[in-house]
Amino acid sequence: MPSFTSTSIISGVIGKTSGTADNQFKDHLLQVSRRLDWRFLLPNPDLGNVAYLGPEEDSLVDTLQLFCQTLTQINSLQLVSTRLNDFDLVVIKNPTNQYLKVGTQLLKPGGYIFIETYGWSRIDKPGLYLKYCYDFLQHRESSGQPWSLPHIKNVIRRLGFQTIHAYWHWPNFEACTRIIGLDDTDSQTLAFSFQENGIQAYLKKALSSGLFHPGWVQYWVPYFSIIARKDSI
Amino acid sequence: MNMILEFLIANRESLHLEKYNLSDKLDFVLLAPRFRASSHILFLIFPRGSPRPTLVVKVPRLAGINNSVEREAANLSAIQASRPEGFNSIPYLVAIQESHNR
Repeated sequence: MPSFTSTSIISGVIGKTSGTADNQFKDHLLQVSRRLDWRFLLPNPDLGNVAYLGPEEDSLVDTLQLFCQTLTQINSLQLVSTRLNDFDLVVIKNPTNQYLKVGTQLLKPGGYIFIETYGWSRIDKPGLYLKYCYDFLQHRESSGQPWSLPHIKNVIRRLGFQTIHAYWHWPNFEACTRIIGLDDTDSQTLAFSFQENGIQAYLKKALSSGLFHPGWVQYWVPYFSIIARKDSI
Repeated sequence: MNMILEFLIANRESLHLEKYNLSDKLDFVLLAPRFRASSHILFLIFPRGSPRPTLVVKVPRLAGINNSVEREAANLSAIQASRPEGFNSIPYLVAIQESHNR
């Protein structure tokens, strides 16, 4: 797995290539960096040593390779026992209970976990919610699949995380133009009405105050992430 | 807490945040422009309960490539200094601060 910092890539290329190639490479980095705009929600956007648990083929892991100091894709439990409390950041895509438990073990005290997943209202897979409900009702916790934002929050709270924040990625992860806090209603209302005035803004605010009623939005938001800090021991 | 809120809260007094009606609890929305030349993300900071942001924080996406933010800050300062009362239709520069090489 290649691992380097963005700074070392840039300086390495500057010394060996023409100005045009350098500009092209910087432009490439800039374009792909947008997949990781969520890193500005962390106290430090330089990602450090990162562990990744999730699908091997994903734009998230592809981009992480370029922007963290080291990236370790966790694909065997054997590796976990040798890297306990070793990572600054653990990134989990489509969490299962096992991923969440393993991710917690890998994280340094004071480190952060970033979880990215989908809600039932994801437009391209509307049936996902039914599957989650079916799994949940049939197998409960043993299904291994946390099925909603409150459920994932509960699981990580039980694992010892205290500071937990959730965010809505609009319109989706790959083309994200807004990241909106899900911890209170105000942010969600503001995110969709701040550019407008008059009756349109009023109607949007009225509609959103219903849709974003505390608690409800957590069940229908289609693309969301959770950032939580592992407390120091 | 993210890097921007940490900075604002730590520098509340020197930045005179009370002028912008900002309390201890800051609401924000992160905007991530997608047009090709866009090299920044923006934090819109809202006073509690207000639909209008009173602060905009611009952060370069890539570390070490800060020249366009510095140029924009210099231009804003220059234009506001061009007449004693400034221009209410143009944003005022509150601060420019390097953090994490950005």
